[in-house]
Amino acid sequence: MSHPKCLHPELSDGIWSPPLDVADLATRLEAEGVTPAVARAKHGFADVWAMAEAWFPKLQAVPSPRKKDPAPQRKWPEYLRGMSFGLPLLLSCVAMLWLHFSLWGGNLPTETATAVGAGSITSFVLTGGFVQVMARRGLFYLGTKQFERCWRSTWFWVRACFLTNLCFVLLFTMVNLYFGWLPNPLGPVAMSFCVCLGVYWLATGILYMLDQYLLVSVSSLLGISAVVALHTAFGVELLPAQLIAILFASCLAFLMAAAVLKKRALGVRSVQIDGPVNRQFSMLWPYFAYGTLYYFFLFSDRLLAWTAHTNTASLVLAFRGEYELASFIGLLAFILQAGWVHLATARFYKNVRLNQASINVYDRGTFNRNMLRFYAWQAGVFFPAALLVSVSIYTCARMLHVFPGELVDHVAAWALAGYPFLVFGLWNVSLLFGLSRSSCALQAIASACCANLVTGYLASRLGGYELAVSGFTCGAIVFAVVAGRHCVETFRRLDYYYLAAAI
Amino acid sequence: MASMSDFARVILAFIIVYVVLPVAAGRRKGADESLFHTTVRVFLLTSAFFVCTVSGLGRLRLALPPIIILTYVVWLLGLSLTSGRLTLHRSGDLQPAFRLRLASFAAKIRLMILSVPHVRLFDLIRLSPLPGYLVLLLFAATCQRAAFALGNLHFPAVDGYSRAMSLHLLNAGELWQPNVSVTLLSPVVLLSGLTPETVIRFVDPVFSVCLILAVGACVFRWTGRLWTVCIACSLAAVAPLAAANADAAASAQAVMCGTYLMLAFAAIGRSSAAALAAVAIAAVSNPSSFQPLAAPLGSGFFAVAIGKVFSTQVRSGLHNFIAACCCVMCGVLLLADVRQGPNDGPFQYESAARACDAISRNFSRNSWLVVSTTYELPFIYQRGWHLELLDFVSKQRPEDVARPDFRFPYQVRHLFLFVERRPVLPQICLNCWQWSLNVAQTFDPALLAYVSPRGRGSLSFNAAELVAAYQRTHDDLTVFYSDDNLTVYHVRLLT
Repeated sequence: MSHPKCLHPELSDGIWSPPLDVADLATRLEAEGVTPAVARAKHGFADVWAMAEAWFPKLQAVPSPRKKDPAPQRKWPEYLRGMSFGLPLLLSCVAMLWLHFSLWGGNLPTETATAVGAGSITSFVLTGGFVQVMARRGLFYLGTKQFERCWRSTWFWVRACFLTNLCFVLLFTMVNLYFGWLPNPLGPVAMSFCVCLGVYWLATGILYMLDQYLLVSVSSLLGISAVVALHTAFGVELLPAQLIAILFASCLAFLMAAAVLKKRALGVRSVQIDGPVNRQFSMLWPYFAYGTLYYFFLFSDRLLAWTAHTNTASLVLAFRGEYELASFIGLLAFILQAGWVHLATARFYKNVRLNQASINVYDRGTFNRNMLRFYAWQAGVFFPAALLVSVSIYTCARMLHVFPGELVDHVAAWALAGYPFLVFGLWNVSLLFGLSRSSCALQAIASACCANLVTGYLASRLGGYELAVSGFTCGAIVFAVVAGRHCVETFRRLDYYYLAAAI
Repeated sequence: MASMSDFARVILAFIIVYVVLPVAAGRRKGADESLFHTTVRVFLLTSAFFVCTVSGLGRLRLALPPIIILTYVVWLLGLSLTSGRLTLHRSGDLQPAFRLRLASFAAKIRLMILSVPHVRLFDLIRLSPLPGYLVLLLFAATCQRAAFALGNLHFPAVDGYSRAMSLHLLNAGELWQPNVSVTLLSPVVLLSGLTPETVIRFVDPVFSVCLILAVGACVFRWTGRLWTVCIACSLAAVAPLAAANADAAASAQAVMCGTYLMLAFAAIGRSSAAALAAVAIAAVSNPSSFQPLAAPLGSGFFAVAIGKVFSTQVRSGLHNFIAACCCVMCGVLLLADVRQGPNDGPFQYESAARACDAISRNFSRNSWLVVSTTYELPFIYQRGWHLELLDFVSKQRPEDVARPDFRFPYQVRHLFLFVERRPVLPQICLNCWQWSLNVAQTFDPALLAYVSPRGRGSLSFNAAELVAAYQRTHDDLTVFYSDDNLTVYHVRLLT
């Protein structure tokens, strides 16, 4: 008959310590499912207390297994891991410079570029919430080694997102017919890219969830190769070639993700019970809303710029190449700064474990103060470095004459000023999510979206379209301030929130 | 068919913006207010809200679609708050309360869908036949009022052109000419998805029917009897038939003024805020003449009077019979009078308006330039470019355009030149007395060119001369449209 692990230190993977008393041992036995009936039927004791009393003397004599020293935290690998999401973007930029096209986008007429851009932005906004929720549940199941449930949960959210995208496409088609925003064939082009890219974001989201950053880059590279093959070798038109390549890259990403999940699930059995859907929804809706609003925030300044002063344009939306170039320069800084988020979050968890282990339960104030000091230190270290990165990129861009005009210079300056605040806000949000304070994160991003829309809309309508970027910067500052305020409030009672998050 | 669907869209948008959503938001919870009084109250308050808000935003050049939509949503939320349908309270029970409301709403929708097969058509209206006759009368009035708009794109009065341009400019965040009807129609344009000139074209008949409904509402408020409403609506509906030569411009403004005046009378004693709002709107609508209102207002007061006098002296069955006969006879008169009106003039040929519409639909936005008189501008604004015919003929000379290497200096792909073969004025507009002018005291060259017979004729002649000279040495000119009155030339400029 199999004995509970708490009675066998050699089965405990090095985390076993001798029980404090009989009550402690009885609690451990009950936590492993040893009820009085099980104690009677399987182990031959009258009840759990009797079993604990019998085993306690034997276990007291057993020394604790030697704990392994925690591996030293490697700063640069963590930082590079945080930046690795930018690798596909880097591949796309190289492809654009060399081939004049990428997995999506390229040397297209303005109207077609507008349709592709609109479809791309819509795909981000529609899938953002689903990817966030899928990752939240998936990481939980992965962390608790429930790989089968992880698989089923992920597949459920993939289907839900795909259906939502299809419904949106149908709805948009009807609305577009009614209002006539995008004439044929631009409407179908936009919606095709929306659906295909949505599938691609889902597939790569799964790979990110599984920490397979390199595989994301591999799928991106293979997708770009497919576009090259179809367009250059087989003479397929660029847009259909890109759509086919995106679907191809998505299939590859799905297959790779499935292979990784299956490999991890080998030999691990898990319980096949799912919670009710409405309970899941009530737990997950803040994450869903955050994911959607986050991407809406990221792209709303572009939409405002594209829709401003289009009276003389051929469409109500007008793709602004100069604005995109300036935004891209800001994005470079974002990639370099965002690596710090991963590093700082890892440091937070390391610090909180160390502090928790070293401080008495009656000295919670010290614990909270230490962590608050840690938070302030991280913020103090980050901002100067981030501003230095932004200034460096701006200066390099000027020296290399990247800015074709004053407009690009102006927009790039505003974007570079805003991204440090965005990154700081993202770090705060990752902490808030880790401490299960999702509503605070949602408040922060919602406030940021409002600030972005109001400021960007008024500025771009009363001034030039390039002033839409001021909305982004203003929104990023609001995001950082609101998320930071919530973080500080949380850290003041970190002992409570850390415990609540663990339950 | 396209006109019918556009008309339906305008009616639907008008009803949703001014009736459906405000009633849903403003229906007082638990209070003893009938749906009729709620509709009148929220209609008037919403109208006043839009007049004030859109005027203010327009002055700041911020009457843009998202801002108008946002202010409308705020208005609906405000109505919900004041009517008790929405409460602001911070409590931990917000999420469960929201879920309960969502669940009960879903259950209601489900019940409605399930009950549809079990409802017979006539059970839907468990009323006497009188409302049915009233609906038929209103349908006949709508057909009669909308006949011109359904068959013509151009406006019968200059007021239509100026309001259409004003609405274009308002929605584009440009300087606009303040006008009450323009502020009221701004949200209708947004929801209908139609162009401002289309909305202006169809909203005049909508307001005409609203005047009939307003007369009926006023009579119902003071008599409470449906048969008097039928009589009042019938008389108000046929009144304009007697004034065959009514000035269309004066009518449109006067109709709107009359509608709000009658609704003010309907709101008196029920909602002073709504009544004051209606009077204020009527006052600022500033019609040039109240003559078109005399008959509808008179029929309303007449119906109230007979309602008060004969309600007890005659049996109700006879009341209803008389009312039904009135509705039927007036409905027949209205349907017999359905006429589309003159197809051309007094400012523009119908074919010119249709040509502009065809160009807007068939060519990419802002890739073409129309050279014509001012009256085509509302039909192409924000879709293409416009150049005044007077400017065009002033700047080009036949000997220049006749050169083989000549190219028109416009950065567009298509140029459309409207040349009137028979100038619009003065042959058609024989009664356009308001266009008599003292040439010796008029310094505006556009006025002389467009309004005076000789000016219009010489303009057309010069334009035709330029076209003939260009055509001799260039092969990129084709005829886009031609009839006895008008020719539209098409020149392909950039490839």
